[in-house]
Amino acid sequence: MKHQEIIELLPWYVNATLDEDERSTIEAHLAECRECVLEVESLSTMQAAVRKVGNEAPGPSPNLLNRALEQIDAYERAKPQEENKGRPGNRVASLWQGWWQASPAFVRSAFAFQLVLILALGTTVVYQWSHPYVTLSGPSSDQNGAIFSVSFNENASEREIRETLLEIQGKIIGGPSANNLYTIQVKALPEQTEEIERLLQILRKNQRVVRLALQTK
Amino acid sequence: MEEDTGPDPALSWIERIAEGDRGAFENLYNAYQTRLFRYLSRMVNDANLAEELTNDVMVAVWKGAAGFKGQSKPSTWLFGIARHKALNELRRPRPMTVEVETASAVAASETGPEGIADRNSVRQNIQRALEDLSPEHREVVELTFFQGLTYQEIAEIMQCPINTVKTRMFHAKKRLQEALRKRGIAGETL
Repeated sequence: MKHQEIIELLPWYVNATLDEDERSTIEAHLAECRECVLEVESLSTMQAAVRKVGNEAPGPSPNLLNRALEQIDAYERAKPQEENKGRPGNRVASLWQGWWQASPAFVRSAFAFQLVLILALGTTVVYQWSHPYVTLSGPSSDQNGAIFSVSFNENASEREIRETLLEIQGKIIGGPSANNLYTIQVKALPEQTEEIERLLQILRKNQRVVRLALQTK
Repeated sequence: MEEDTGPDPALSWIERIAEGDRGAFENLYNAYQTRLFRYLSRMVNDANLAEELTNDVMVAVWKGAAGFKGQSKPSTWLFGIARHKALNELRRPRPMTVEVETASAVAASETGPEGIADRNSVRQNIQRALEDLSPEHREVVELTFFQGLTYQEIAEIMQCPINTVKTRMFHAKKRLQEALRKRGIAGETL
């Protein structure tokens, strides 16, 4: 590096922001150049003077942050609702994309496989819902209670399943299907939507016993 | 370049601001408000306006955090926004005003040599020496010595080539050295 190039870099040598190579080049030059040593001293005085002025100057008002927060609130309130609705969706998509790209191939494959399984199960449930399973000799109900399709966990014991059925006052009237789905009838009528929802919540919260619970009638 | 002392916390604050995190916004605000305010004060020479612009910068950060992709350092991004806002403000026609501080500095410098020994007077003399520089020269001096930025960052903020930054600094320091010498300011008087 030439003397003139060194001189031009000295302000940033003094403010200590040069990279390692530049700094060592300058230090080697300073060992031999008296003019540059004097320049560094002068620049150090200048830096101290500028910092003195800056540090002793009055700072901003203490309530400035509150004013900024008020501006932000006003901005958020004024934002069009559509924009508010759209932003979290975009963020979820972006997070999803980031996760997918960052995940190892085996994780992505496992995820894809699970997704296919869930879709297959969903398709079967929908099919069974629209084509009820009927046999002439099958159990029938003398009630008009709502019908659930439920899949139990493989590890759930018979006793746990029985207790769960008692809790919802339901009985198995069909199944298991090829996908391990049982048809369960409860006392609550299909039009008692709140009660049906409560029973489904009981089943869905009991994840130790129940894998899936849907109302099919 | 500055030594790497771990990831800049401002990066994660900006990321969280993009998610609407007000706590992260307050952290970033507290970390930068004084630096931005002083930089803007020097740019527009008006403390009230500098406060207003400081908030404008931070609100712009709130609005634009999702668009910050980390290609530049957070400080470069923030000072770039601040500079843009200050230049826009300076382009608007405004009535001539004299800052109280500047006015008192002028008065102090005209009261005689006894004032020079005074602590405030030293500061006012330095202030005046800085004010005698052209806006571009003052800005490069301010960003280098007060804000402690690299010449690459300054070039990015000022949107000019690196060589222009170096040339501006070369001329600015000559004028400032001369002005400080004239006012009898040496290392030991600071």
